[in-house]
Amino acid sequence: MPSVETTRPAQQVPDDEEEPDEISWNLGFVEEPEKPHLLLRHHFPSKVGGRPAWLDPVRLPTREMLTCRASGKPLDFLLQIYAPVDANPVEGFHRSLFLFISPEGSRLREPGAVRLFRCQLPRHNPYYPSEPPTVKDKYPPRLRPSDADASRERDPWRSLDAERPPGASASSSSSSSSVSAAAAAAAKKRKGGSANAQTAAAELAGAAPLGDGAGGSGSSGSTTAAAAAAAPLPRISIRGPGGLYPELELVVEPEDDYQEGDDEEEALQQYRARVAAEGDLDDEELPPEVVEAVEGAAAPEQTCFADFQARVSWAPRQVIRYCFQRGARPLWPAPHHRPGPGDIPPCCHCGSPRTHEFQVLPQLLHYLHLDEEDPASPDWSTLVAFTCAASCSPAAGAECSYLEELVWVQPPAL
Amino acid sequence: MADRGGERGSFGRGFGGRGDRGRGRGARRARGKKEDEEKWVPCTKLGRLVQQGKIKSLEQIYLFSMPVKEYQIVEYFLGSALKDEVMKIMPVQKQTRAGQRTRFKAFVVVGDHNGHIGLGVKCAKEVATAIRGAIIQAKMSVVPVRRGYWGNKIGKVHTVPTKVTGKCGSVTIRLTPAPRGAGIVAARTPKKVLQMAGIEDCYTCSRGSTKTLGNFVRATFNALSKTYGFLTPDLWRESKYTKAPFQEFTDFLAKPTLGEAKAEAYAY
Repeated sequence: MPSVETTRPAQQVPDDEEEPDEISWNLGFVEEPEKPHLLLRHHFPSKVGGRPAWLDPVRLPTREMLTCRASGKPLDFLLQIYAPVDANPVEGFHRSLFLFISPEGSRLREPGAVRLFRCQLPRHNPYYPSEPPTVKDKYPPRLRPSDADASRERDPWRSLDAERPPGASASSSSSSSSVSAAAAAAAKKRKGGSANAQTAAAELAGAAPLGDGAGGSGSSGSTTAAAAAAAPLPRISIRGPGGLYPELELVVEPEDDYQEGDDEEEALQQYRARVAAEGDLDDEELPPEVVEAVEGAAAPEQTCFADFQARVSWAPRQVIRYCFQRGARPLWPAPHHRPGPGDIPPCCHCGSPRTHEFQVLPQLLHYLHLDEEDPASPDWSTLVAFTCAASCSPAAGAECSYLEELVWVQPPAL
Repeated sequence: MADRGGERGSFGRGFGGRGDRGRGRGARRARGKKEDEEKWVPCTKLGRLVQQGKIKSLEQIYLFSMPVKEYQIVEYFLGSALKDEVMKIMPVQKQTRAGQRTRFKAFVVVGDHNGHIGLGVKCAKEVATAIRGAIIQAKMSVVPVRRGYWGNKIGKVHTVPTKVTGKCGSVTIRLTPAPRGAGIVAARTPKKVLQMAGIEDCYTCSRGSTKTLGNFVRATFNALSKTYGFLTPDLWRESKYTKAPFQEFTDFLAKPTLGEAKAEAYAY
């Protein structure tokens, strides 16, 4: 048997990563929001960009938690996912995950540059009714003044202030889009603003003055926001320090089984026709070792990425892959920099193991309208979230109801 | 995973359950694979740059020596000229703990008949999956092939640009420019590959012991690699780069078959 020398040994037939049949994936897709108010916190949204729609609006993450540990700068809000799980159906009747990334996009692989926080609430809680909201519910229930203050104190995005249009009275029957108009208008920020991120974020929030009547501390800038409220709803924000990513809704669909595409079908038909007419290629005409040599010539990076592309081609617009079931393994675009045994420590709050919950795909970057030539623009192969398998709750009376979870960053190839 | 209670489901379009269809817009995506297929959502920075028109040609990418490129990048630049062809589907027996398992290996060639060629192999449980995977691999590994004229520089390039020789051990292969109409003197597979690359006429001849297949292959590789555009193998960062498919390709480009008599006229 002649040997065909190659610089790497011919690869064995690689295993399709055989997933147990019962593992089923949910996919997330971004869409322009149907009605902006449906992305506010009382609708338990899943979304990308804009301001965080905090689940617990009072016991927010601390400033340290919202800071990039690599650069020391305030994190940008990337996305949130509403994902109650069976692991904790009572305390976690409502459950949301909030993902933040560093404004220094080239440093995402460093520890603390991508951070994930989990928050959950029981069905009966101080902030939301026990019954589901309807489409007509434009505003979240008001917080007590002390709670509202606490929220504003902690929240660099001042999401609370963006929930209501300027000058909205206590009644919730204000007219349609002014809430989101004010919120989105206040989100406009020129790229490369010289103000540091903290100030910039405060300016953004400050531009939308308090809608909550009595008890709220005053804020300037009401004219700007009022004028902006009348303007058409801007959808694209230009991102800069303290800026916001474009706000998009995340909708979830189960991943459908693979359906044969037309391309393969046609290629197969042509092959069969040719074989019928001319006969198949025998081992002389196409020696098996040639085929193996071609197979082995593909670098592992290419093979891995080809498998990734084949899988996502089932639904090319997917940006999130979600599966909290045991045995779910992420779809890796690349072979490098994956977690090994011991790289995913157990939950630091309760000691339960951390398991895969979801991953953010690089396709999301396409929807963020990035300036690709800006080195601060984020890039990744994938971001994989590992969370407490028990979905534990913080201690009763804790000041912060957001628990940090783990994100594994697989940097882009090269 | 058990379905979430209907109660919780009605609270929001959560991710944790079986995929609550929310406001019933599932049809736009779940079954919309056809429309989805038409629009390319890049998943790499290079892909985003290409889609934004910031990269002018495929050759520019080769100069960058990107190790992996989304297959849609190749489609983007080569357009509808890029054709794929399944050369062979082979059943493969794989031994697993559960017993023997048959899978299918597909060998695919893609080319635009105009200076670009790619080869791909994929093994999978189903034939369609294998074909799809092999097409993707082949597109990702498309390389440029330099072509030239035999005599007068009239019309389009159609043959190898120059006599190129490859050696390995005692085997020497020579690819020689041929006039228009000479055709490709080779077995079906190499002929198809050369044609898909845009080479229509080529003489091949060989010297030395052709019994050692391995040497034959290497010699052919050496010959063919000299036809690569402005890239020579030493410019390719081999540790990171996919080996150009021809480098691992076969001897069959020079395999004696029909047309041997013609080739003899040029034997040395």
